[in-house]
Amino acid sequence: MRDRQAVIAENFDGDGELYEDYLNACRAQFARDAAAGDAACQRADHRSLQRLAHSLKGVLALLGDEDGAADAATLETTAAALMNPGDVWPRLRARLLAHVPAA
Amino acid sequence: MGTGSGNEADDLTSAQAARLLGLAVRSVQQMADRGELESWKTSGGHRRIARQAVQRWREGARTAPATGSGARPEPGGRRVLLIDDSVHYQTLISMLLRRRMPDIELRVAPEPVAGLVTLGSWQPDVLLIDILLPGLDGASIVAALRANPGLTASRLIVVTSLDTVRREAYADGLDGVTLVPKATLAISLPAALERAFAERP
Repeated sequence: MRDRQAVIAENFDGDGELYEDYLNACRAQFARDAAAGDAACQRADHRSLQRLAHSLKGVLALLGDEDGAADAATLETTAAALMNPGDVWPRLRARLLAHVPAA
Repeated sequence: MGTGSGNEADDLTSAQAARLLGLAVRSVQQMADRGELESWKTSGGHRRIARQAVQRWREGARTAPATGSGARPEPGGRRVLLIDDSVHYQTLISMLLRRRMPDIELRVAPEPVAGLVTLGSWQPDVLLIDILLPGLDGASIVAALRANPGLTASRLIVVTSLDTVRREAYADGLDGVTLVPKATLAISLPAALERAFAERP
């Protein structure tokens, strides 16, 4: 975690009370986020995971949790890649079918 | 949480409230979490929404006082509508405005359809909108509103976590629109709002 005073100065315009109120609200929501993320993982809902990660990336950075923000950024990218396989799946599919003897 | 009549006969389930308000159940739950709808929980842990709070919301009035300073907007105060599906940013913007601009009446819509309905019926002075929204991106909404100026007189401000590179995909629709990065909300948003209010016809 970054230094609390530095986070307040840079991200909350020096308003320590705003920071504390917001941190407390985030703590309550993080429990719900964890449950939402678990549910999204169970049903392989990559879009919901991406959206959750996108939100948490910014929030954790705001609160000074740079490691958490980095993990959220990685998850956001990973989830997006799973939703949009691009040209990788067509290429792999072509390779698979290349192994299949013609009928 | 914890307010409301406490009388199950007078209050609604989240699903009942959602049907009356024409919103998703999750939206109603988030509104209750933010204190916009008075609610409480039964001994079994089931949420109940105050029927009177739902009725007041339907009539267009704000309901439960928000957390924090408890300051209420003055009659005839300035109106801001936020469309953002992130509870975290809904909370931050709510707290920030209550502290810095307590005369502002803020309404929050967690998804585009509810947001557009509120935009039309409530006609806020300023619309704050995120780019990444479920179902329909904010940039498309902004572009449509700008292409049809008769739809709303609200000033537009985009709030976003997207970095400069990722925002490029939406550049066409957002050209010339005030943009406030979510990383600097506490510093940038109050000033951006004051400028928007000053630009009102």
